[in-house]
Amino acid sequence: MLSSKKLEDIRAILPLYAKGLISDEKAEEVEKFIFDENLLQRELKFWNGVKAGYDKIKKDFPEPNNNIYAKICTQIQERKRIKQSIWSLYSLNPKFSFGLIMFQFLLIIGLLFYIFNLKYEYRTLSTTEIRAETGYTINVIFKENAREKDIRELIKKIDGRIVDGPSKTGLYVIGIKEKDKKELALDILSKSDIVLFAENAY
Amino acid sequence: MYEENKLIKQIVEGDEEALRRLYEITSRSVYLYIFSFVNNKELTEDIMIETYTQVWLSAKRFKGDSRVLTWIFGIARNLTMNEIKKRDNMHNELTNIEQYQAEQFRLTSEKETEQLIYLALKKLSIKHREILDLIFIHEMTYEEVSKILNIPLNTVKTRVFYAKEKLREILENMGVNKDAFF
Repeated sequence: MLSSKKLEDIRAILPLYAKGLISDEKAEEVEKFIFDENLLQRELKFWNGVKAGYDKIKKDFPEPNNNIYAKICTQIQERKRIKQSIWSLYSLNPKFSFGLIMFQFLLIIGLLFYIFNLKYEYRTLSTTEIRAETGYTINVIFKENAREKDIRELIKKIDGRIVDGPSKTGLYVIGIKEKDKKELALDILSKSDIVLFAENAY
Repeated sequence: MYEENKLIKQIVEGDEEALRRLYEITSRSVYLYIFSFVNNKELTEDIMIETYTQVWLSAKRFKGDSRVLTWIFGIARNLTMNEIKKRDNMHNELTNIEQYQAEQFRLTSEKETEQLIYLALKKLSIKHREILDLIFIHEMTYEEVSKILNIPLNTVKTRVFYAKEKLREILENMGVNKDAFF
């Protein structure tokens, strides 16, 4: 009695056996088991039928045309010609090759120059336009934690604008157009939570 | 086999005579392999031309871990599948082959068996037909089939099993008497 694994192994190679594609040793093994196993006998009968069907199919196949090889040669020559013509641009025309090399060289140099000269700038609150100062000015230093939004609101409240700064020490010069508003502005700035220092600029 | 490997080495060195010799040895099998997929002479020839052009151009990529014919079949298969995808009507052509009425084939002589299986094989899907073609026409072992189809050995065995089951089903639908050959 065959184990089920052995049976499946033999079944799996029956198509190869029917076609004579296994070694003599394997073939002998198959024959030994086939003799006792009805299932294997039926399967082999089936595969022999398939083999016979294929024999008929093979008879019906057309013969390849005799000129296929000539066409293959023509196509290979054509591919060679195309390949050569592409390479000839680089290798056979010295002016073109030199020009291409120079272009690539300059491109690389240009890119390197651009990358190393990039300046990473930080934007700070400052005057938006340059014009001659006509009003009065106040020196202001804002606290470090003062937000841009709050600073803008405060400057708007006193009807002023930044005319200079920030300096290295963080000093801003705020311009006030009307003289009578200057004292009020100074008062508001002095009392503000975000202002560290506010004083008349002379 | 040794000769084929030697020819490939000569092709790598640009020997056109070696290509002609390799073509002589392998072309019939490759032609049948492609034809069994596309069932069209002109298309088969076009794919043949491209296959051997690729053999010439990529001979240096042949690693020698399989038969040369197996390697050429791999190239032919890729090109054929691309062509089938392009045309997309091959499946219909294969499945629309003649219809047969049940009970038509009750009596089976040896000659009839051959004819019936021939007809049933033509009705198999490309996937199933292909694997049986490789074994019964091209006499490939499971290892070689595995390399051509790029699938594991166990998948080859499983696919053979399902091809057989499908073939039985087709034969039954054709009205073939079960005792005739299974």
